Amino acid sequence: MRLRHSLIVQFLGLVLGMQLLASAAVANDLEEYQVKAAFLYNFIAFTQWPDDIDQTLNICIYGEDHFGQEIDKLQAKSVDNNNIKISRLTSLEKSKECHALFISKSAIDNLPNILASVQGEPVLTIADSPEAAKKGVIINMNLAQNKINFEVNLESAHSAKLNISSKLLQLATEVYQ
Amino acid sequence: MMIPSISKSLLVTLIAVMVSACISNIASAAGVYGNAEQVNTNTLIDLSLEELMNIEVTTVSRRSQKVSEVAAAVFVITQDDIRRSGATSV
Repeated sequence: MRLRHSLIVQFLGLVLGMQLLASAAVANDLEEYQVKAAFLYNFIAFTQWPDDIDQTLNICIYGEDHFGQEIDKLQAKSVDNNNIKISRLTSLEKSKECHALFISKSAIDNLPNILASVQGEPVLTIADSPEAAKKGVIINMNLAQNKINFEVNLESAHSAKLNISSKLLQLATEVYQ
Repeated sequence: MMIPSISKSLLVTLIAVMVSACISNIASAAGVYGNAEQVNTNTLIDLSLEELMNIEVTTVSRRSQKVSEVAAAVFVITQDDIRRSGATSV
């Protein structure tokens, strides 16, 4: 009888454990920055630079990196036969060498200096801070009802001599002229 | 402390039901997990902008947690607890 009881207890424990494991595995949603990394890839694919890209397209991140490995996965991809290289900038000295410059939330207070450092250069500036497009960033991502959308500052794109595809402009929630 | 034979067979049925429910649960969970994992690494980048704009995301503050980090309402019922409860069937 004792043996049977202990068997039952072990069985119940096993069942409970399996249930816990199962419910934990289901709770795997896509995180904000996984999706934002995919957006970044699309922004680049829908942008034309004035000069031909010499084999490597540089994507730079300035400020705190929320992407982690998600953005590094883009390096396995290519855009128009160009490789993608991800760099994390610690200063603005080399910001001109970036084709795309993601400005993190942590660095947004420094936005005037960041934009000045790439003034007149063909650098696609991207951010995810409120009002950033209005303040001169070319593409800015926002969250609405847990979904990501974006706005485009066409004037900034023109002064950077970048051609943003009409497809991007159509999907943008706002286009600043 | 004899378990009457009727409740013994009931017990066996009950456990069988729980185990099978659990196995199907895990199977479906594995399916979902597998898909999400695949989406993470490959497919997400291949999605169109329209599709990306329709994905609901979790923000950093309420992201998914590891099993080890989740507070769980699990406790152990010992053989003694069951005996002292006086129950003869589940």
